[in-house]
Amino acid sequence: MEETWQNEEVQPSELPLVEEVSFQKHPVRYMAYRRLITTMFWSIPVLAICIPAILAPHLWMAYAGGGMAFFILISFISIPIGYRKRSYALRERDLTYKKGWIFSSMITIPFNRIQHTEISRGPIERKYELSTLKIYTAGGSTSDLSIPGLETEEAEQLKEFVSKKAATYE
Amino acid sequence: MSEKSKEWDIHEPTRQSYLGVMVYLIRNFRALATLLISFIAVAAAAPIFWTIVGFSIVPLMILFALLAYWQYRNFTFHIEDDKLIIHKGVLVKDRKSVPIERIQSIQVTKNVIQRLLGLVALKVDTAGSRGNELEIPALERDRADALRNLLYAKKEAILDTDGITDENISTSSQESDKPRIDPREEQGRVLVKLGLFDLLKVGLTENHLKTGFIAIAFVFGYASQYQELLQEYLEGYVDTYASQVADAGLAFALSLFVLYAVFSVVLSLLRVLLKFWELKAVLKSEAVEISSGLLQRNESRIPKKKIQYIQWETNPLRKLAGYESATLKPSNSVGEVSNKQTIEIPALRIAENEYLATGVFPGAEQPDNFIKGDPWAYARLYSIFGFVIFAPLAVLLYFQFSYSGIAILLLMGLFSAYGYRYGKTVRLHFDEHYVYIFKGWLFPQRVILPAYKAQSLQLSQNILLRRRKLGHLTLFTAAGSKTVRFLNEKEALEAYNLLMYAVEKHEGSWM
Repeated sequence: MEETWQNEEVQPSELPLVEEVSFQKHPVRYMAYRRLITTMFWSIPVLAICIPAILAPHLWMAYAGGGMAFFILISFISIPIGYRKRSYALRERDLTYKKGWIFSSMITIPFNRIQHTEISRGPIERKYELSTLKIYTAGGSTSDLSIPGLETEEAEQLKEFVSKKAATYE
Repeated sequence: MSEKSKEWDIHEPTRQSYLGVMVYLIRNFRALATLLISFIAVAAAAPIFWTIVGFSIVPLMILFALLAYWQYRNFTFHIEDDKLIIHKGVLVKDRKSVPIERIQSIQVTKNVIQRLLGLVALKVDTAGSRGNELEIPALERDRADALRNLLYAKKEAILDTDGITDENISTSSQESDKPRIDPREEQGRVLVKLGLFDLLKVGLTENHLKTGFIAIAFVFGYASQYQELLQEYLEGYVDTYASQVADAGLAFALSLFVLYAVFSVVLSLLRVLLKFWELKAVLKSEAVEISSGLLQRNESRIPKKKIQYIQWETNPLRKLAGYESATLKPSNSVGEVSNKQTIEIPALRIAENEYLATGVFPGAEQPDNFIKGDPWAYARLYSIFGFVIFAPLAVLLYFQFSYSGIAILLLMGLFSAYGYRYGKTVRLHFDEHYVYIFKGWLFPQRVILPAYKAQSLQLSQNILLRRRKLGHLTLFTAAGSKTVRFLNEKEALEAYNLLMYAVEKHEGSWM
């Protein structure tokens, strides 16, 4: 492998800063979508507790119900807070996605490392006219990024933009 | 080249070595044997099954032998339109074709049977979905080598002509400077060769502390059972007598522990001898070649540009012997979990480490600029671990021995101290060329990763860390990810921005 390093000087102050990019929010109805998903998710364990609690009440069911109520509360509170934290940004050479309230993360994928992109739309997403953009990199699934809850048109445009950019590096 | 390969035209469907029948035969008989063994469980209950098995065994063997012959007959391979094509199958005919430019690596392996027959298996791994592996199980050695070199050479040629015109000019000018070296002819430099003595040392210096912990847990569990029994039967006896018995119990536990330790040492010795027998690693100009193994001998060749990072590990014992072990991680399609192409070199001396690093990553040099993990954050994390482990134990011991049992909580302090000490070692050295990651106190770990090999970067936090302005930085590569924890948020972002710049600046292939 021929590797010729050009050793031009880089001033840290001149580097583009990822934290100063303007981030784009998801459409507001993403929250409604999240509420429906969360309700559906919790309905099964809630029923699993409630039905026996009505038929044959026990003290431990009250404890379990209380504990569960706490987690249900947290997960509904985290919908609007998480919505505000969830945003993406495009730069000339990369895409950055931020999310999370209790556990937050920011991930940046440069276009020259993207393998392929994909749009998926589940039945519930379709109801809200939302789409998920999936971005794949090489080597297993750990670094794959999926951006849920995009306007369908926005997702298509994003996919177009990203895959065109990624193609220029091949 | 021998007579055989001269008359051998790779563009015509070719059968494997005729000895391949034996390879299939033994495979099939093995399958038959497992089938029969599972039947025997049933047969033992009802004698009629024995007669059925007795009558059917000979026809079955003939059937399986015929099957082996047909498997051999129907297996052909050839190259057509820059594709490697394999036909196989007896009842269900199968045709597999792999574009040569998609071939990621080619492995030559042999197990005991192949070795006795003087054959090797050629395994071709391709980029793409899992299970996309081709295997030619019975080839003569020189044919396998010839085919492997041919495939590599063809791949190079295809990639060269497909490349951008700029690159073409540069490679052709290079070619006029120095003629292209046939990968087979090139001698390379032997990086490491492990003899029996080295392997013994490696086996003895495996991480016995880990197995030791398991052993201790085992003995504790056993001893406590024993103690309960003792207390039940010996209640009311004189104290001195009871303590003598308890001593005997302790001696028994200790001897068990020693037994287990010996067992684990023997086990790891055996594993090391089998896996790394006559290990030889050679650094060539474009690839690393390694061969090892006692019963199952593996030879693999990994192009240097596929290697994403190198990781060194050691432990106090191995350090004492003057060794470190290195792992070379190539990019792969399946992901970190089942990376079969990972090269493991269990024993390298300090000088060889340096040579490996600069040999695989030219110009690798540890950057002066570094950021550190917060040792107090590690101490907090380990305190939580300690609490989770020792708090229930303390409660248990309190009921057993009253207040003196709570003394075990002191061990929590030990955990926290270890966490602090560990955190002290966590460092991320970086510039726009290389990333060096250090962590671990008793079991130090070091990773060298060219900055441009990163595929994406992640900064993750939780609510508590955000308040303390700390975060974890993860570098994802095509061979798995590396995370450095509890970095100062601002410093981590500086590294984030610089590394992203390094990746985006880089042109050309990284895997």
